[in-house]
Amino acid sequence: MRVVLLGKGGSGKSTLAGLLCAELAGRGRRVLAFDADSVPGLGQVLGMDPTDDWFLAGRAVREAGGWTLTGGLAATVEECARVGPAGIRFLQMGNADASMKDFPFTAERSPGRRSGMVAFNTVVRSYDDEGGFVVVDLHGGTLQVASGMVGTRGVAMVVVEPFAKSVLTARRFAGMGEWPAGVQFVAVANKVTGSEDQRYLDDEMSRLGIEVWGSVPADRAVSTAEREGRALVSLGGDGPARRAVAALADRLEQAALEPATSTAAAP
Amino acid sequence: MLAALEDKPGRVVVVDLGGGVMTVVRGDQSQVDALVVVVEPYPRSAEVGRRLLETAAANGITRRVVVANKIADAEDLAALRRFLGVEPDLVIPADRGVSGADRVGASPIDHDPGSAAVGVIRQLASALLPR
Amino acid sequence: MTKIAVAGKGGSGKTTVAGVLARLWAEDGLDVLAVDADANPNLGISLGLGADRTFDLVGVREALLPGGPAIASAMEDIVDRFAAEAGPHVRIVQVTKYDHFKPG
Repeated sequence: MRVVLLGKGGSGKSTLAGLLCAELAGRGRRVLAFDADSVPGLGQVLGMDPTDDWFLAGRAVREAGGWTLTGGLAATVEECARVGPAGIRFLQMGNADASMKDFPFTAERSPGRRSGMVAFNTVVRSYDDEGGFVVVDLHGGTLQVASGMVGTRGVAMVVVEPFAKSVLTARRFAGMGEWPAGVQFVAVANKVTGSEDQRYLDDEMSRLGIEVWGSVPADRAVSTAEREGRALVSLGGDGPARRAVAALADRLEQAALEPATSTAAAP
Repeated sequence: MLAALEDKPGRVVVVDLGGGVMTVVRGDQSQVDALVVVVEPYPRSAEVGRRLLETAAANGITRRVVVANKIADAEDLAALRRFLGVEPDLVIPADRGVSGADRVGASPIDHDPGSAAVGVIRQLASALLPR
Repeated sequence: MTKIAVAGKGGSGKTTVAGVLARLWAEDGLDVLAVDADANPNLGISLGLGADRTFDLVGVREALLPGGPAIASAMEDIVDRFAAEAGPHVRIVQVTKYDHFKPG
């Protein structure tokens, strides 16, 4: 099942995505993680090699007015995904920095990278794993969601912090228009520091008609690990954040069994 | 858009470029007088900051100001220096006035104008546009 | 005319810094134009407009996309048409906003 994390930049998508990947992998589930941010977010949380770059360069080819993936969707993922800690497989778009002066890549100037971007976007949009989990960490903001990167089935989870700008972003998602029928659009509260924060978010999400599937408290173990630059995939312990993520994983496993969001029901 | 605006005296244009590196990578703000790069004491925030500084320099933005934000203690500042690799030009402390403003959707300058954070931003304003 | 750009990772506080800078310069009597180039624009909140007014601001690019009829003859006209007053001496204009699913 696909689980796509969206939300305002800085709301904790990458951190939560990483903790979720670790939790699911720890339960023996097959996990594939996509980092759709142009600067490694989920990649860093999972402890992946930061110098890795443009995994899918050259994998999409122009054909009869469109693009096709060399070998097809499954083969592309199989051959290009890197295996990280805890057996979590990982794919990222690339690594945006000063060397990207020729962005947006054109077929003439950067054919490999252009192909890589098209391939990555195609994979992120459409890849699913019926027996496992595909966890997608989108870029902060609304652009990728508006462009259809959430795909057509699975769970789209907006990560909301108890701050007005974060809630405003959720409001924009709620007003985007018709979500695909196979997608469940829900929220998870993050960095909650007390009952007032919780009440605020419950009220706001209720007003927007978004169901809250979990609530992750602010957790010193997590913020310390982040400040020390440690990958969170090996966080360990049984702190409040981990317990909340476990509860969220339970909810997602439940959803994976329901026909509405599983691959089996796809037309 | 910036290029098409009238060059009025006494006019200041402040542009929020949005999160991430892509707007600077695309290189269409080389006509700005200064780029302010805001970083928090976490590796991912510092990494974006580092790439922004490098890309801005490569794109001809000669004046770059580094502002460390939400610095709670000496450990935070040390962490930022370690991750970013350069000394910040200004340091904005972690500030309840700002988080309070953020919570209710107000500007810190209305919610808590006397806060330490607003004070440092005032210093930034003077540094960017000496009166 | 001085042009200052503010950047940083999402959540770093760049929008807060940009908004407060704009307000401080406006307080000094300068003619400030705050431009929000974020596709998920929040600068209005940091300027003091509040969440609802920020949500309701219209992006300039939407109105100028191919398919739209008239295009303002000068950037000043565009700014005049789309900028909202955010206080004495400061106006805000949002460049673009991706808040609807793109067709197709």
